[in-house]
Parts: sequence; C-alpha cells; structure tokens
Amino acid sequence: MTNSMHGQWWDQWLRNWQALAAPQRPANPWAAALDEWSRVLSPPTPTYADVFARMLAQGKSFFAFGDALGNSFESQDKGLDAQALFLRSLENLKQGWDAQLWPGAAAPAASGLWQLPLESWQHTASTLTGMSVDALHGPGGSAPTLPWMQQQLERMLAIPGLGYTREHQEQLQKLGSLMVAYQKAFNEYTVAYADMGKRSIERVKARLTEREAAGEAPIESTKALFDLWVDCSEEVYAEFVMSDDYVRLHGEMTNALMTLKKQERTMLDDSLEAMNLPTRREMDTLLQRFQQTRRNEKALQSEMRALQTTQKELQARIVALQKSPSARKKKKTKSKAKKKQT
Amino acid sequence: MSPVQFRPDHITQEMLDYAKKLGEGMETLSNLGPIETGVTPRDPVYEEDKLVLYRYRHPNGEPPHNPVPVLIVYALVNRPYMTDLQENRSLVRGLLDAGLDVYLIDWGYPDRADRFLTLDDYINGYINRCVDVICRQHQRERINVLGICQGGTFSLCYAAIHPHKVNNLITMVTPIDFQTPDNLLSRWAQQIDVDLAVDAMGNVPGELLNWTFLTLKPFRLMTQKYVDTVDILRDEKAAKNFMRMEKWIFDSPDQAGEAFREFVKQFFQENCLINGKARIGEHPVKLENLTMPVLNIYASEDHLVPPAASKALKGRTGSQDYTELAFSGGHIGIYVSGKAQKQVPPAIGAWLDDRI
Repeated sequence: MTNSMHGQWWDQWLRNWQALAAPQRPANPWAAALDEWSRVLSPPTPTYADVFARMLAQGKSFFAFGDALGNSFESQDKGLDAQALFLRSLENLKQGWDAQLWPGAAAPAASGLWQLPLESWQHTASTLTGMSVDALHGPGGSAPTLPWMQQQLERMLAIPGLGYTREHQEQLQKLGSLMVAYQKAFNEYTVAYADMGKRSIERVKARLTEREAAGEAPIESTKALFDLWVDCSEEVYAEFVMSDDYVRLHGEMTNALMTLKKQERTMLDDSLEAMNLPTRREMDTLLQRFQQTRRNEKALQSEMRALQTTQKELQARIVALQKSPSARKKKKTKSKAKKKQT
Repeated sequence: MSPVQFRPDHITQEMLDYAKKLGEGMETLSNLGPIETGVTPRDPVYEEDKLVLYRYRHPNGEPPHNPVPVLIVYALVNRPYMTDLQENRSLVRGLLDAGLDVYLIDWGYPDRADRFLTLDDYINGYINRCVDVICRQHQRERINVLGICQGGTFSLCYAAIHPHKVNNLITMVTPIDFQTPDNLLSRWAQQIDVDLAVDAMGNVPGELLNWTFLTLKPFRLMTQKYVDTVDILRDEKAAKNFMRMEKWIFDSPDQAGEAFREFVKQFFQENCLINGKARIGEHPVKLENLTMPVLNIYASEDHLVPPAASKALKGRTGSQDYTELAFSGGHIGIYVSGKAQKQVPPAIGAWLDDRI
C-alpha cells in the first residue's frame, strides 16, 4: 500500500470518527468508512484480491456491531439504562429481519452475518444459469418477490401459445414458469433463513441472561460479543439444518434450480440445432461413445499385456525345458537316429 | 451486573485497532509473493488422461527402509497438495521420514471431456493401472494403499475388488456408513435429485461443492475466520500459512458427472457400502473381502466425516488384523496440524513396519 493510500485511508477514518459526534451521522459510520476505504484501495495483488474482498466484507459485518453499539451509546448519553437499551437494540434487530423479507426495506446492519450464505448461494446459482443475480432472484437480491407478483406472472405464463412460433413460445413460457418456481423455492428458503436469524438473536439474549445469572464477567468488547453471536448463530443453524424441514427446503431449491438449468440447456440446444451448429446433446453422445472406446482400448491393452507376460513365461519354460538333461538326452537320441538313417 | 458493559471510548478504540490491523494486513499481503504448495520433490512416473502418478523423493536421499511402496489415493473433491502443504505440515514428508516409499495420485481437473468417467473408470481403471505400474516398478505383486476421505472409500472398494493386490490398507477420515445421524452432508443429499442435477450440469462445478462445504458451518467458515485472521496478518509467516489454506479450500475441481451421480446415489443416498449392495462396474463390493490388515484412522472432531461414519468399518471386514486410530482434531487438522505431524505419519510408519 502506498503512503498516499494510507493517508487517504486515515483521513477517511478521521472524517468518520468526527461523524460519530455529528448530529446527522451516517447510519453505519464504521461500515461506511470501510466501504470508502475499499473504494480508495485496489486489491493487493490479483492472487489475494478474493481473500481480501472476503476480509473486507466480513470486516463490515464486524463493524456493523460497532455501529449498533454506537447507536446504543447515543441514547445512553441521554441517561437511559444501558442494558435495557442493548436488549432493545436486539429486539429492533429481530424486527428488522421481518422487514427484510419485503422489497424496499433496509436490512438490519448486523444481519449481514446471516445474509452471507444466501448471497453466496445467489452468486453460485447465477454462475450456474448464466443469469444475473437480480434476473434470477428478482430485484433486491435476497428480498423475496411479493406473492401477488408471482401469481400475476404465473397467470401470464399460462396463456397458450399460438401461431407458427407456438412451440418456441411454449418453451419460453416453460422457462418463465420454472424461473418462478425457483424463485418460490428460494423465497421459502430465505424466509426460513430469516427465521433462523431471529432465533439466533433470541439465543444471544438467552446466553447473556445465563451469563448474568451465573455471575460471569460482563462482555466488554465488540469482538467478544461478535464471537458470542457467531456461536449462537452456529448453534441455531446446526439445529435447523438437520431438520426435515430444512432438508426439504434445501432439496426443493436445488432441484428447482437444476430443472431451470436443464430447460435452459434444452432451449440452447434447440437454437444451436436451428443454426446447424453442434449441440450439447450431440457432444454428449460423442463423448459417451469416446469414453466407451477408451475403456475397450484399455481392456485390450491389459489383455495384450497379460498375453505378453504369458508368452514370455512360456518362452522361458521352453528354454528351460530345452536346457534340461532329459531334453538334451532326447536331442542326442534323435541326432543319433538321424545319423543312422543317413 | 449487566452482562454487557461497553464503554464508547473502548469500542471506538477497538474499531480503530481493527481497521489498523486490516490496513497492515493488506500491506503484508501485498508483499507476500506467490503461494507455493506441494513442497516435497517428486517425479511423475505414470500419466493417463489428466491423472499423474507421482513418486516422492526422500529429502535426505536415503532409500526407504520399508520395501513395500505406499500409494496415496486422495479425494476427487479437493486437490491432493493438502497432504504436502508446506515443509512442516506435510503428511507426505512425515511418511518419507518414517521410511516409506510414497506414491500419490493427482487426479487433475476434470473437464467436459471427462463427463462420462464412472466410478468403474476411476477405481478399476485409473487406480488399478497405477497399482500395476508401481507393482511392475518394484517387481511386487501387492503394495500398500492409503486412502483419504472420498479416496478412502475408493480404496476400500478397490481393495475389496482386488484384495490380491493390496498388502495393507489404510483409510484416513473415510466414510463407510454414510447415514449416521450426525452426517449433515448425507442428510442434505437425501432430497437432491442427483440424476436431474447431473443431466442439467454435466460435470458438477467445484463452486457448488464449495458452497455446500462452507455451509456446513457458514458463520465460522465464511465470517468469523476472516475477522479473526486480521489479528495474525501482520506476521508474514502466519499470513502465508493462512493463504496456503485459503488457496486449497477454494481450489475445487469440477466433478465428472457420471462418477458424481454414482457416488451420491450408491453411497450417500443408498448407503450401499454398509448394506453390501455397492457395485463398481461389474464388480460387487463386499467389505468381507478386505482380508488384508486394515488401519482405520479417523478424526474425533471431524465435521465432514463424523467419527461414527468411519468407525462403522470395525467388524465389517474379513480381516483378522483391524486397527483403529483416533486423532484428536478435525478433518483438515489431521493432515496439517502440528500435533498430526507428530502422531499420524509415525503411527502409520510403525504399523506398516510391523506388517511388511
């Protein structure tokens, strides 16, 4: 990192530090500072860019805690009870999860922790289908599409195709329907995730109450609270992902994505065929035949090697037999007989 | 007393410290240079398609004192350099130091041309030919086989089908019972239409598998790990170790479609190894055919292959000489932790020395 970059970064931190005391500070000043910082700097080297991006992203989750605590302190300055405020902020966070389920609502800052696996899935699904995250999951990423919108879309997609392009229309309608089916499955999965997120907050509250009752030392750092949050999240997650409900949701979402992907492939192959270009289907047929030919070739090579080994063994035995005393005696007898004849 | 007691100045300082460490970490990463893995010198001795069979050179040039070579069969789902990550974290190095002659199969990165490779191709094809190559080279009829994770399942199948070619079998963190109650991967696999998935995707992308593995413990593996790492990034050596592991975790080859289909169906969904219904090509896989000595090593804190999944082998083989070794650690720690270096390779070496 160059000195000037360092300088810009610290300047930004200073500005955010000052912003903490300002009357109209940003909602998440620490996270905002990190955003600003990552914009100023390019990744260290292409090799590490990905890792550093992950660190920045997770740093933001961590800073969201700091921001949430900062908000609590503002109220504390006004003479309110710290613990009550903290518990209230947890409650707000929980309610924020409900709001997050609908488009347009701002996700609670600390829910970033719970959004990451979903975002990661969206990215993977997007790569698999070749569609953008928004196109595949609806605008707003993890925000589920409203049910009435889905219903309208389903009705539109059910209109029968007419005319010369009927078959093509039907394929497109099928693709649309499968996309809606995937979005529905993804929405159910997202709702379950949000529910797990809420339960993780309950778990944090319960754990804090247990600590208090046990007379344990209070948590005094953001990192300690963050670690507790992670522990509770993992616990809640581990319980849910082993359940039949989760296995069903996970299976439905994955299978819906695969059905969509398969339809994409069929349509792409149809287009390629129309253009007189080789299709995936044809390539698969060729690869299958080729693989079988390879197996046959390897089997023949193996048989040939076995035959060669047998042949060598037999040759060795013949040589050994020829050199044996009985063989030599026989040979002598034969040559004598031959001489007599001549 | 309140369970949470924050002071604004402390929190602010904590945030500033974190940001400072992140900045310093970035500087360390900038100066780190390329990350090297697979440190022990080795020579390719056989190549076929994308597979390369390597033989490792002994670091001191000394000949191995155990005359029976060992073939390491690694999983398809990650890269085998995990067994030789760095000089002081290397199962391979440990095995060489234990006096063994070590070979390893590197499966390479399958692409669409490998889409129709089956388990039969992998086990009775590739592994069998590698074993033959080593047998010819050493003029032996049988060798030792060490299978790791999914490679352990492959090795079990291989040894059950070709018992006359395996002198001793070692399995490490290997699933045998795929449906123990604590096996999360198996739970998830039950509702997946694997035929549909393979028909749709052809090969199964490594990225998808990676997502699956990370979501076994998403908050620790996707979040906490990176927040914690900021603390060690100032130390160049620690940063390099971290980056090596990161490189390995995200270096996930795609899976040949047909082999993946068979593996998920036969093992995860139908648990065929345990119920005696597994078939690799034309060959039934019967665990009772494992008549050679067996060393089964599992990790007691393994979140990928629960210990119970590995321990299920006990009492199911036809071997009169079955040994279990529990390693106190996780699925990855068993290759790379300092404790593993001291315990696992010497134990394997001693066990094999007793069974030459």
